[in-house]
Amino acid sequence: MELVIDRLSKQYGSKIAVDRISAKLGKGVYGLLGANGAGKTTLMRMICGILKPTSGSVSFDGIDSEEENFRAILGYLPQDFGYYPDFNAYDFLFYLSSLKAIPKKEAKAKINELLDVVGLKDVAKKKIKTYSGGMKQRLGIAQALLNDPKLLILDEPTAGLDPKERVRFRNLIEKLGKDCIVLLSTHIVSDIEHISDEVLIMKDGSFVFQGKWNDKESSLEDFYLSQFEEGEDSE
Amino acid sequence: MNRFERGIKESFSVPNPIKKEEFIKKFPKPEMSLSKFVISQIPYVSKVTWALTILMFISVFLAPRILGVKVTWFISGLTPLMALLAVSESNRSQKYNMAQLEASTRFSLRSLLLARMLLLGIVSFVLIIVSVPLGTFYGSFRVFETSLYVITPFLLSASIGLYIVRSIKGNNGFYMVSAISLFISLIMFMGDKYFGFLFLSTGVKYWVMLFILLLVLTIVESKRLLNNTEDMTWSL
Repeated sequence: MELVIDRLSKQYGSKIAVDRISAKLGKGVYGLLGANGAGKTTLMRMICGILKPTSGSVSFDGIDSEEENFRAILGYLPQDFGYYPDFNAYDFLFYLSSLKAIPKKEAKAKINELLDVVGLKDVAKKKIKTYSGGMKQRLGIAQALLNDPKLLILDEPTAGLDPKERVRFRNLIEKLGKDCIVLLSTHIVSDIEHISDEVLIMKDGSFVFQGKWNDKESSLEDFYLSQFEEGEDSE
Repeated sequence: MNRFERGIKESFSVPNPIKKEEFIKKFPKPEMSLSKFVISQIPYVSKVTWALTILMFISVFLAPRILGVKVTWFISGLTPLMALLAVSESNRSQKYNMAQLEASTRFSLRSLLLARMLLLGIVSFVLIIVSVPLGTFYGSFRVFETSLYVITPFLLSASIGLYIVRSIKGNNGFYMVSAISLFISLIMFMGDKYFGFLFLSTGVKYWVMLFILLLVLTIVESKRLLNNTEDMTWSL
């Protein structure tokens, strides 16, 4: 199981959002850190195959990110997502199951299992518009897991979760990371410290750090903050 | 279960399954054809869209009894509204910020848009197929002219609508499409009263040219919308 990112770049006019990023990721949890505008979301969208790179490629065990087979093993939680107004949690998950080509019977069992995991079983029949931000986020996490993904991309998954939910989520990700590749982006350094096997820090479209953090003597938070200071100094 | 089987069951306890999840995951995922996928999307087309479509069919069947010879104007005023429904349905993912989630699924946003356009396209086609004979039988035009006056407003509304939802994001685009479709619809509804000069027999050749032009434009705009899915996911 290997995700290969090969010289991946995205350019918008004169602005380079992602600059020739290369990486090989195996089974485990990878934490992606970076300030707003560092290129995290652009990178994640290109890995998911929903945004075409200017150059470079992404493949999973030799399957290109543009192929249907790639999307079949992908679970993606975008930073910001919506829902159709008449949907409840069941409808939402059934709808996405149909797009993931999961047979009805299998989908029903999986949906019940996931609603239980994310703690939404009791409110599954309520309209999503009545949910809190944290509940919507948990529903987003559930949809990403519908197809038992081998590659799980989570863009700011802990946003809106309360401390209790965050711990529950960390445990879930830790468990998932044993069987698949999990790449998650966040601003919260402690989330990354607790669950990530490896840390990727992005700045101006490139990785400024890539590896296991315990290699370093200083704390991850100090290093992360120093990247901001360097940016401010150079401005 | 015979006594030997029962004896074995009583003597030995069933071991817990080892690596059950991994074993299940090894089974190949069932394939789903595009036709099955299209059918699976019927319940996910907006209920309002289906309700309005049914209403249109009912009104097409009732119109000849109420309007008599003026039925053609009513039907030709109805088809731009059908096109509006089809266009707004194809814009739904973007409107409700579902495009990214849908794009990352196995079938992708492109297949989903294709499915929605196919479903509403088929329904529109059936509405037109039903409308033309009714319009011809009860109205004052021949079948060829009736077809032109029913289909051309549909294509006009569809081609402009598809162009707008692709070019103008958000609710503004939707409001603009609605306004234009209603305007086309209104002109057709009032066709015999105020715009009779548009429907003279000498003008048929211009209607044919317009029909061909709009048919090409509708196909081109549909293709552009389907190829535009990346832009739809990048709307933040």
